[in-house]
Amino acid sequence: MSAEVVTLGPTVVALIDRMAASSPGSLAVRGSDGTLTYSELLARSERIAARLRQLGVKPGDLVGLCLERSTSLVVGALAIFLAEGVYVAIDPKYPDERIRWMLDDSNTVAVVYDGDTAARIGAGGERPGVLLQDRGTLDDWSIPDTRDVPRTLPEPTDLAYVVYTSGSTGQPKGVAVEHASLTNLIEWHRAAFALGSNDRCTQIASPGFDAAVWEIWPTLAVGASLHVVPDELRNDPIGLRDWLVSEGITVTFLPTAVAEGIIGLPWPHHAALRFLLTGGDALTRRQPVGLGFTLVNNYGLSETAVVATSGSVDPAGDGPPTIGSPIRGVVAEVLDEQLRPVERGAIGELVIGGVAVARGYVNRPQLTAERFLDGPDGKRYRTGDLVRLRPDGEFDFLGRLDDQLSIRGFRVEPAEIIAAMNAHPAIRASATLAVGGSSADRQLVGYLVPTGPDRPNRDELGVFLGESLPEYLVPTRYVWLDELPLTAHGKIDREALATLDRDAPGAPLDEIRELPGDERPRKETEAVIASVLVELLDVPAIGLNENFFLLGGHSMLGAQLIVRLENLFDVEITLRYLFDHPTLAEIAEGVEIQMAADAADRTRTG
Amino acid sequence: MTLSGAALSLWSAPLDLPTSLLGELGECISPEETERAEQYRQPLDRDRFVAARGWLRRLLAGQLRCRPDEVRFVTGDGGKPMLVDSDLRFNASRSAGVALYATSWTTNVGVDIEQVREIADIEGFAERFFSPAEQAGLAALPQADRRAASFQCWANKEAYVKGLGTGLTVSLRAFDTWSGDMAHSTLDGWTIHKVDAGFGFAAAVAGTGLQGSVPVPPESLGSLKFDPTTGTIERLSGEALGGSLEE
Repeated sequence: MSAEVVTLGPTVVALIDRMAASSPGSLAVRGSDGTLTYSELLARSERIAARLRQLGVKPGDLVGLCLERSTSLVVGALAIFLAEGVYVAIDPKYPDERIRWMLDDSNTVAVVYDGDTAARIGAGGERPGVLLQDRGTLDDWSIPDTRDVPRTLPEPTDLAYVVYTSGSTGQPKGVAVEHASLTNLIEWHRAAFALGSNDRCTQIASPGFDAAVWEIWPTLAVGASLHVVPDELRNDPIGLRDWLVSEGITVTFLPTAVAEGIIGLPWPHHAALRFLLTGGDALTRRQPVGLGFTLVNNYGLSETAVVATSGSVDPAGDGPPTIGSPIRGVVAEVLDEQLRPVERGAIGELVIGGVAVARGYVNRPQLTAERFLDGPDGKRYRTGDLVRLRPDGEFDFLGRLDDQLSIRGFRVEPAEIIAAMNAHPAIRASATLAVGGSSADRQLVGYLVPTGPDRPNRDELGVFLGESLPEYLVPTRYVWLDELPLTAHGKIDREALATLDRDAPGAPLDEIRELPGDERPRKETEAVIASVLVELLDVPAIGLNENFFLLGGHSMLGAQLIVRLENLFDVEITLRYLFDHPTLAEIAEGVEIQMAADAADRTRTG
Repeated sequence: MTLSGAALSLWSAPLDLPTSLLGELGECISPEETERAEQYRQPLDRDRFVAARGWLRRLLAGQLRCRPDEVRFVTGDGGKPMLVDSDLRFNASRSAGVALYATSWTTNVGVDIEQVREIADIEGFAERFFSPAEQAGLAALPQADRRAASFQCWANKEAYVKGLGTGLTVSLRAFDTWSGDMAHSTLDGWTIHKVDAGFGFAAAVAGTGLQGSVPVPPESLGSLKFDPTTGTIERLSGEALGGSLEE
């Protein structure tokens, strides 16, 4: 597929500038800390941009933005753009250490924050801070002269923002996105949802979540107004619905878990809402027929500038909703492990190309080279997600490639289990978690929110689910909840779920397998080999007489074992030996015989 | 799948099954196999073993026109499983939740399937088990392709060794399957083809007398109908399988 030629209009800064000139008095942002018109927004941002320039911020510099969701956040972000800087989105709710780490990791030269954060991470010091109060005003009386702020606007290839993503393994990484990608997102959003200056949009996503980028900039670019959702409503579907109605919101983004909670509620006919956009987790249910607004499911990653595919959800459709089709400026391919296109309709990894692809990871050139591939039509990003292209051109999302959930060594896709559980009439919503020690001992727990008073027991649920799921995907235990706990980002809070289960009476978690005395390693070789086997087989412990192959080993794993042992002990072991002597005790004996023979050779040739 | 030039068929089967189907397959296997299944420590590994043996018996029964539990195996000199009193050759392999089988009335066959996973120190692995030409072939590939290609190389070599049936007396490093790309090799009269076994898996089939053959994807046993009393297999369209296969 060749990249669609996309003409990019002016960057967001130019657009906001235009708005402030043409309709200075129109509402730009409303939060619990007050309101700002377009001219106020621009004036305050210009002052902060001037202060940043005074502090030495130069075009292309990265500046930390660490503010709660508020009018100040929007002012601060725009200010960094006006200073031709790149804002690094940091959630002030993160622990201090993490905030400091992110500021260092992305090489920020300054930070824009509020009094609370300043107190926590230290005001000034090596990195100058700009303290904002009260709807983006500067915390001191000396107002910089804004006539000296040059009005050069960013180039499409300049960086716009950095947002951190942790993915499924370890260290968070900063994704750097260019203005071209942001402009593309804005133009797609404006056209797809017919966004105009009379629209009223929301800001609910946490400041560190890239969905906030999607909420803020397209709204301001068309002169619409941005309404910051009060904190306490994020976990209150009824209150949130009422607020959306009373604020006259026309277009809103809600994280998947929040959206799923709210679409089932009754909605008044007079509600102004036209579009409810959702994304962030796999959407497993559809809205009822007859709602006055359109539900739109969206898929994307920080690495693809928030949204890569989008599609409206048909309430009358079957199965889980799709993730839609590629937005303008996005090329989507379905590739096999060797990065060749699969047959049309076959399952493969979704790889995204086009102007939406981010520049790469901050400070991680090797990881960037691995995930962002060079191609004749520009860069492409390997999403790590499995999809299938349907005949209608939309994609089915089939889960992650890497081990996010691993039961006894096999990758498990939660969405499949959740969809099966949600199909039960007594279950309104559900989540699933693998709890326990290593992958070998883990058990699946189902967390269920009931539709009514009926609570089917474990056996009944087992029979029901066993009809559509393989045995190992049927949870061994269930916990009934009033609501599913959500994180600050509005996603299902897996840590909270795990804690819930630990409190369950009689729940035998974290069982450590105790080996009987005569099965334990007797000497160092056996202990060393045992630890290698435990890691390779992903079992908690291994007895002297246990058979490698009966523990889940196979020839390739055996080959890996051989490479490790040969390096550790400086001997040669054949696959044949392993097949004929597959127990820990025999392997260790073989190694020792070899080591003794080598030692004897050395003394002979001495 | 039919490879022209000789008759060889490829089949795949899912091993992670709903309870009822797993139960049916469990009834197809022998008491010895049932006992062996119980020796697996993890229920998942046990169930996969049962499923793999069950599918194999159903497949062979369909070709031999007998019942699955009537299929009798014997172990050849090199440890390769074979059928008693039949010209039908076969080989089986499984990895994670997928099994792969090959059958032929005319040629010896070997198959291997591996789930592609992260390996620490893949270069060390290649140095230990691959020939110099294979290592050079891998090193010439772009970094992003190397892991999948290494797994394919392993599957190619294993399929060949299993086809030969002499057991692991031959050192993997000592023979060379590199003929320019990982999808196709020839070695000593044997042809080795890459097999498409689904996303996330590397697989290969090896056979003799297959020059000029063109591989097609394996037929999925999960999509076929099995008659438990007669053992016959039918496609869902009603077409029968088994007996001698066309060229």
